[in-house]
Formats: sequence, C-alpha cells, structure tokens
Amino acid sequence: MLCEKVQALLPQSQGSPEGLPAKEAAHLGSCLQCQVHASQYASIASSLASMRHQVAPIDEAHLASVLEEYETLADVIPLNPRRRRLRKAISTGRAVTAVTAAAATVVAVKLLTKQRLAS
Amino acid sequence: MQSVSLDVLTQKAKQGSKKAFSEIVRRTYADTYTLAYRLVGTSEDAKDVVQETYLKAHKGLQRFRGDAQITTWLYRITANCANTYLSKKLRHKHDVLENDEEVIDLNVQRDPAHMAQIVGLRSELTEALEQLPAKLRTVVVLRDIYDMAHADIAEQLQISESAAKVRLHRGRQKLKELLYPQSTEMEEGSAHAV
Ligand SMILES: [Zn+2]
Repeated sequence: MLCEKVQALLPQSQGSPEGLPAKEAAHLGSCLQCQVHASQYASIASSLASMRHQVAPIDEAHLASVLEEYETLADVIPLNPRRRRLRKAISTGRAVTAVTAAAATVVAVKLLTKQRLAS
Repeated sequence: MQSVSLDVLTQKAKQGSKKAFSEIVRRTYADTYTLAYRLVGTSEDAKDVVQETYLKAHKGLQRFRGDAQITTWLYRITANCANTYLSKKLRHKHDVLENDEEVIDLNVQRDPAHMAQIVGLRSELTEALEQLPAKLRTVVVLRDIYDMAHADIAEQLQISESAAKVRLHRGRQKLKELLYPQSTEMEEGSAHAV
C-alpha cells in the first residue's frame, strides 16, 4: 500500500525524496521498486530541463516577415506615447500654420485686388 | 547593436527606437519560435504564434515594467498566444466535426519535413512530449523546460493554479508511461495479481 502512495507522489517530487513526507521518504530509501520509478521521474526531469537550451534553427524568411510586419505596424502605432503626443502636437501645429497661411494669402490677395481697382 | 545588452535594447525600444525593437526580435526569435513549436507542434502554427507574440509584445511594451527579463516576459506572451491559438483551432475542429460529421483526429498535426530539420530536438522525450494531449503538454513544457511558476502558467492559460498543478501531475505521469512502458506494465501486472 505504501508503494502505491509513494508512487502517486513521485510525479510531484520528480523522483526526489525531498518533496515527500517523512514516512514515504523513508520507504523510498528502502524499497527497490519505488526507487526504479523515482529514478525514471528524475531522469525525465533532468532531460526536460536540459531541453531549455536547445533551439530550433532560424527560418530566415519568417524572421524577415515578422520584422517587416512590425516595421509597418511601428509606423502606424509609434512605440513611445510621448513621441506620439509630440507627433500629434506637431501635426496640429502644422495644420494651424497652414490655415493661418491660407487665410493670410486670401487677405493679401483681397488687399492687392482692392489696391489695383482703386488705382 | 550587437554588443548592446537586451536590457538596454528594451529601454531604447520603450523610448520608441524601432531599431532596438527589431534587434530584440532578432535575438529572441529562435527561443520564441522553439517555445511556440513545442507548444503547438507544427512549424506553420508556431510561425503564426510567433507573429502574434511579437505584435502583442510591441503593443504592450510600455506595460513591461522590467521586473523580469524580457525573455521571460516574451515566454509568457508566447504561452498566452499559443493557448489562444490552440483553443481556436480545437473549436474550429469541433465546428467542422459538427458540420461535416467527419471523424477528425483532434491531436495536433505533425509536420515530418520540418521535424527532420530540428536537429537536437528529436529525441525520445520530444516524441513522447508530442504524444501528450495539448493541455498536458503545454503545462509540462512551461514548467519543466522553461521553469515558469505555477501562478504564471495559470494566468497565461487562464486556468486556476490547482488546475495547472493537476495537469502537470498527469502530464508527468503520462510522459513516464510513454517512456518506460515496461515499468508501467509490470506495475499494472502486479496490481492485477494482488
Ligand atoms: Zn515501494
């Protein structure tokens, strides 16, 4: 019965006796059958951990498409909100300047027309 | 840019540098792709997940506080995107099943050509991982390969922490059954004998 209990706990402790209650840890120390299961879980755990540093080969074409999509998006949504506000302020400023310039031109043309008509 | 650390690049990217963000993508792409591949199981699906991951990262970069490494932050986003992707895919397959009444294998499809390219990833363990149901595989990959905390896994997969732990337990058990079938058979045999 204790074998079953110990073996049910082994996935959680990954085969280590350290994660087990004292009674179960003591059983693991003396039961060969449970030790086999424990070593299998421990072996799986260390193999999985070692996979962390294995990486798939880079697909350059896909990487390029990711970068391209980001570049396009970055133009639409600038990263920095301060910069976005600044850009908005600049474009608003430009619009105001353009409207002022247009109005000034209209006034100047009217004045010139008046002067021409008077002379 | 080559000699600049990822932390510095992250700061620059947050200040609006497109070059810095592109460099982050270049440096983290292989890791992000590998994780995506391990989670979704095919190169095409992994590419979609990677694309979505960097879009999300770009949109959310201002919210990245820098209390973890950017690679860890990207892993979380990848896990979240892969989970959403797999859920949508499964839902779609269920729809097809209901509409066409065809029997469809709900296991994630494999891509043998690309698999052969992934030198080093091909091992008994990789094959066993691929045989796990996606729900179990995701948790095992995130916890046992990427050392992600239970709370983070639960948050990214939108499940409770206890559900994440149960999936991990089942996933580890299932992996052992796949890798050491004799041991499991012996155990079952002795249980029947008793
Ligand atoms: Zn025992």
